[in-house]
Amino acid sequence: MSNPLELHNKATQLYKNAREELDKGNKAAFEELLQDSFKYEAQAAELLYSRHDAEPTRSVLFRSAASLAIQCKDFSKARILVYSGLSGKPNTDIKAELEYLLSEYIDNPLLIEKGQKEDFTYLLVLRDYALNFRLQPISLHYSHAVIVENILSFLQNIQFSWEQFLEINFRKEFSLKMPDIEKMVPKFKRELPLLFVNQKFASFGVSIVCDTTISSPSNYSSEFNNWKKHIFNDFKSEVFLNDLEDQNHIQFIKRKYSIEESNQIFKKIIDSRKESNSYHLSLTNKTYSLTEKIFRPVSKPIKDQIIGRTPEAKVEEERLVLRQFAMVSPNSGRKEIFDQSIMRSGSWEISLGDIENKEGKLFLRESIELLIKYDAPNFYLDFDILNIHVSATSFQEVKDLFISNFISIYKSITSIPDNSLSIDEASMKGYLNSIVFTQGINRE
Amino acid sequence: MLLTKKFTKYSYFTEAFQGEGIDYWIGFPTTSPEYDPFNFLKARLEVSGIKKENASNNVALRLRQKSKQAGASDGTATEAYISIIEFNTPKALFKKK
Repeated sequence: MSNPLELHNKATQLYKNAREELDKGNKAAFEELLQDSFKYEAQAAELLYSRHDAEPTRSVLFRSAASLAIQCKDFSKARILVYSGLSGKPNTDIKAELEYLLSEYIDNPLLIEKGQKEDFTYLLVLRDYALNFRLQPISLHYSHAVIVENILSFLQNIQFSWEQFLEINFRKEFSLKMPDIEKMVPKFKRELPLLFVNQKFASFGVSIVCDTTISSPSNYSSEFNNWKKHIFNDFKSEVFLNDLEDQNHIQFIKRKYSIEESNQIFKKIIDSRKESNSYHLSLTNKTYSLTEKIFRPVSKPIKDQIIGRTPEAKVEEERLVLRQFAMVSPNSGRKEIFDQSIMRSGSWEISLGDIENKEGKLFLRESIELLIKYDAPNFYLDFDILNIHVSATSFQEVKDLFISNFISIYKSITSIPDNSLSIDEASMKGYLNSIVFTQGINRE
Repeated sequence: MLLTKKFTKYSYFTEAFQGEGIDYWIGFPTTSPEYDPFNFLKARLEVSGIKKENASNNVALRLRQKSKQAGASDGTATEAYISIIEFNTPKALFKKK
């Protein structure tokens, strides 16, 4: 194979194979094929090094090879390839694209400083699947700058909608198949966060995606993994890409979800499209330069069908967590609260010296350090060593759940003979033997 | 591809890597007398799809947006074509930039 066309065709085929491997979650195979693709494309370009009359092919192949070098994190080779491309007679548009590679990816001081180059391929891949939003202010009082409060409100609305979509669809799919689904819900929600994978600050552009295949940890069944692979695409399609004014789509939503469920998924997004907002919302291409969809306010008849007529009536009484700041008053000599605010999230470190409830008592060789997190309206506690993941609506309840799980696992695991333990159970037993000194007498 | 073959002299299609994504290129097939083994990428093809047209997202608007992205008008930009497909009707637009 010694002509540029054959080498280039080979490179594109290898790249397609690489992306197929990545879609299957085979990161190592993806990286190997990506390297091979780069090698062939670079060879194709270098065959044209001295052929300055072979434009645009010469500069396009150097640009293409440089792009692959960047994806392979070989930034020094990428720089050589870009300058090789520029050394010919590239057309103005290709010249601009070569220079863009230099400024945006190879010589970008922000990327170099923060060491973000190492994660570059991961981001590049995720950007292919991301939703690219742009917020543009309606009033140009601050030129094209968008008010931070509006950005935060918009991002919170997407976050909320995603979490509701995830949980509702997970329960629909697995509530009959997973007896311990209540334990699973908080765990898998934390494994599938929304990610920022790109942004731009003239107006505000942001690319948001959930990584459902590449690096999300998973010890689950293949059925769950297959479901998880498509869930973000389903979210994109149902909530953003399909037209909410299209009756076919409305009927689809009504068949799939109850009014309470569709209210939870769609209300916040519909709020982001309100006429009274001070920004326009749209979907764009990856570089935020081309509008692909403008989100207009949803009409009242459609809103009534999706989120119901009186959504306010369905709001339940909310338990609040207050953060209070207190100090001893110099006047009264007593502790007084001088400020308090509602907490929406937070965390506390606690230490358990011994483990005890009405089921039993375990004396520990050393304290167990735990972290209880709060993300309104629930408290969460994760203890990966024993695969304990609990959530509750109060601090004490989540702590009690942890203790109950701990004692239950201890009794269960220590009663199984060593030669009957699975690898995970053996690991748990090893930990329990190291931390539990002895079992106390049941008080009852 | 069909539109390209119908409205241009090119029938070779390929992709090239551009930063984060890919772009499409067209040229002469190897059997053509105009085929040049060292310069086989002749024009860029910009492909765009719309699932279903509406007031804010339609073929005409998309064409205007794509046309605004044109390179220099002094003849030093690469030859380029725009192809926009609307799937619901269906209809298509194919234009030289």
